[in-house]
Amino acid sequence: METTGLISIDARVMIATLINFVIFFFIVKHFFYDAIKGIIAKRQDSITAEITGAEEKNVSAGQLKLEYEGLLADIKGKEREIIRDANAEAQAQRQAILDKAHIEAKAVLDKANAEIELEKSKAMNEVKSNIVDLSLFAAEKIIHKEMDPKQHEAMILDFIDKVGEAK
Amino acid sequence: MSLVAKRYAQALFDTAVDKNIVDEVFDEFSTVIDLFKSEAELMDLMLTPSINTSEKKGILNRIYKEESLNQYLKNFLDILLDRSRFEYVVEINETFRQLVFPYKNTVEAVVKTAVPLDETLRVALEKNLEKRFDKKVILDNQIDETIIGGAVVYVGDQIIDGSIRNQLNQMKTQMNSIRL
Repeated sequence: METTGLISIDARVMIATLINFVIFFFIVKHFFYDAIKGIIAKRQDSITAEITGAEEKNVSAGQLKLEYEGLLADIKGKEREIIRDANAEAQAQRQAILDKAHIEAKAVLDKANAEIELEKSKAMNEVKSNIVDLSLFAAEKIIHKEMDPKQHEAMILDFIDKVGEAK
Repeated sequence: MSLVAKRYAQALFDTAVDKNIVDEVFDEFSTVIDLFKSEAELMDLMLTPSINTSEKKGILNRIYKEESLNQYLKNFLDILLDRSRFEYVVEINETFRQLVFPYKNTVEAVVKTAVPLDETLRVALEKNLEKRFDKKVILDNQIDETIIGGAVVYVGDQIIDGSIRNQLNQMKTQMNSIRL
């Protein structure tokens, strides 16, 4: 055997290898080419479908986004409406409470004024009654002191005349 | 008025009318009652259960002698003793008077004055009251210094008030009705 360096070129090996390769090529071409091509086509279709699906999903997502944005806008509108209604209701309630409070305050004030008037009237009447009592007490004392038998007789005579007149 | 008093008074009244002695019985019965009212001890004696009826009749007989009472009235008072109804005698007298007054077209009146009414005034008032009520009036004068002056007459349920007290009261009502 001829020894050579690490790399040596052998023509027979090369030809054998080439023949092997050609045989292998045809075998592969004959038995596996269509299958591999089908797999690749299938894979390509699958990828195409995925891309199309992704695009459709993208479009759908865009539509959903628009839809959600619309919904969000509606919700915001409704939210504003609710807040406006709530504000209006709160305002109405506030006004009602204020009105009620005013009415109650007026009633309390009126009652207090009426009570004051009543007390004032009572006090005035009491003073008046005391003055009347005192005046009549003084008048009675003076009359008692001033009455003499002649005056008694005159009064009784006057009474007798009136008894005779009225029937 | 009790039923007992009414029954006995009616019996006495019927007898007095029947015998035409109404005035006599009326005056004498009133005198006896005035005596019992003024002598409370005498009335107590008449109502004391421990004193028997004959002793009580003896007391009545002494009164009869002094007052020379009508026989029918004497018998009536004896019957009250016999039937233990003497406690009703004052009430019977009052009922009897109420029966006699309409019969005699008479009415009792009370006049209240601050000073005693002299006879002239009493008669004048009696006369005017008789004119006013068209009835004979038996007038009793009572002293009431609280009326101050003038007079107040009570006839049945009617009051004729001519007193200073009444005038002062009217003045008080008028003054109190003035609104300030």
